[in-house]
Amino acid sequence: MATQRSPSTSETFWAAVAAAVEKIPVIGPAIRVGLLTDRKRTLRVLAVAAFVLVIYPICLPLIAAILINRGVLFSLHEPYAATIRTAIRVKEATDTELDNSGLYKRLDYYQVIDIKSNGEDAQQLIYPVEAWQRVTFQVQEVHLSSSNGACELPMSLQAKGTDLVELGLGDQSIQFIKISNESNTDEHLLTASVWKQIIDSGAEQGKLRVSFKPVPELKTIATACHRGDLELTVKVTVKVFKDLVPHAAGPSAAQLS
Amino acid sequence: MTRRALLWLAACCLSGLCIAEEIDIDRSAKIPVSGGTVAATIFKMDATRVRVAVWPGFRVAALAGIMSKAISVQEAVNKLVLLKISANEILLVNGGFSTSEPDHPSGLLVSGGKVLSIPSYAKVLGNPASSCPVLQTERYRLSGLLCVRRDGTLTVGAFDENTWNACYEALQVEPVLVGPKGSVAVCPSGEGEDKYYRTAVCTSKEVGPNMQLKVVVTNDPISLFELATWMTKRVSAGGLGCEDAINFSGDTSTGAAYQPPPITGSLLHRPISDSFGAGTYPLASFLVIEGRK
Repeated sequence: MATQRSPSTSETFWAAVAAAVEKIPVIGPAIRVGLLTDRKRTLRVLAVAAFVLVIYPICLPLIAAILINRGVLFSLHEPYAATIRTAIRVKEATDTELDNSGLYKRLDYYQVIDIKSNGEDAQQLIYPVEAWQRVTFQVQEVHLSSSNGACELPMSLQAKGTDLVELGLGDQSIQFIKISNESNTDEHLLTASVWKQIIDSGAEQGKLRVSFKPVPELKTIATACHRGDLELTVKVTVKVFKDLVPHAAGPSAAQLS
Repeated sequence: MTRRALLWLAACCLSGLCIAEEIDIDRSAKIPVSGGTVAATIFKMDATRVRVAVWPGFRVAALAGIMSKAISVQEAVNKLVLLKISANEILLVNGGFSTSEPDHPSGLLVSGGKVLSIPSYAKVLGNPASSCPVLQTERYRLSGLLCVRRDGTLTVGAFDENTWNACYEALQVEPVLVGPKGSVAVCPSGEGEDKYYRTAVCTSKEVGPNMQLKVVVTNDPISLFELATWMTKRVSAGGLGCEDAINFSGDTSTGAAYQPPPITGSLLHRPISDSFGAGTYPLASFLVIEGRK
């Protein structure tokens, strides 16, 4: 009796399910027919469809996130994370330093350059800047120290206002400003004449090379000391604005446009 | 019998074994602040009876035998650095600030007449609209200076770009806590209200004919304004009676280590050095205070 009643219960159940799915728009009637005629195949198709359309899309990013966090996918996410961190820093900086002045409306981007040098080697950075774009540099901090008692810093580098670094611009490293040990809050604007020099020197389009070169006297002292005994730290903020510096249109402008 | 005892005493003193403590330590000082007290250790000494020197972190690290050029107070204690500096009474205090690299000091550091870090001439613009007088005028970012001249004369106070080069030992720090004539030199809001562990150094002539040097190492966080306010109060009013005071590096940098003088008649049973404050952050500079023999 029990073996005869069981299939009939099952049939009743699947008939109820078929009646319920029939109400699903578009695909409901087809599923109903499938459940009543070839149930196994229909359930298999439904399972595959549920996996492809629901489970797989949810699991894929979860698995990827777990693998990235565990370092299995190397550090592919780090450039992205660094970009996000930089973006947050830029936002904070613009919020705190430019909000009151109202300049942030024209600001393209803002960056803090933290240069560490052994006093011998020049360093170069490249910024995405279009020709004639308004750019300002502001020296925030300058530190020079020795980590060797035998490598004393001479009086000539200690006096207030002594130049320590030359900030050059463009592919030919045209001297823009000299950074002294007396950092101040003055902003240095790339004027039209400086831009003209950079463009005339054959600078690459859309890129502005910024170089930091220790002055000859510092280089001499650093060379005399053991390499790494001197540390020069220069913190400079760069503001790149969306507008251009006023300039007369001429051959220089045409060269890059 | 008395003569024999005196002879023993003279022999001990001549051999360097009998040295009186020059540094007085108050290990359970309480700084009154709003809503309670802050625990601190205060080291007091006659400035004419101690030798004050500024040591770069790499020099302390070399004595400790570690590869790094910066070392924390705690690590210096663990590596028995104090005993390696001197067998006599000695106080090692965390120094000033560093750049983003802990082994490179920020601002002036002169050690034994050698300039190892140039002065920071960076200034902060004044805000005439500020309600706090200190913030109204332009000032150096690293506004304080500890200076010891070649003759041992010690001064604590504001950094002066025209006079620092007379210092044989010097450390530029920030900010000045107590200004000229014993006035509070920090504001109650902004930088002055942040609470951290603190190290401060002050000079005072309130007690005795000679200048007193006092070093405060807090065991609880305290704001600069609360610390400065307490330091300016007269000793009789429960303060420190400071006429000039400057703030050293704080938070986890805050730390000091003390090695007492050898016990009379025995070098073998000398007490081990004692440490105070957190002192876990590697430092670019230290203040080394030795009792004069």
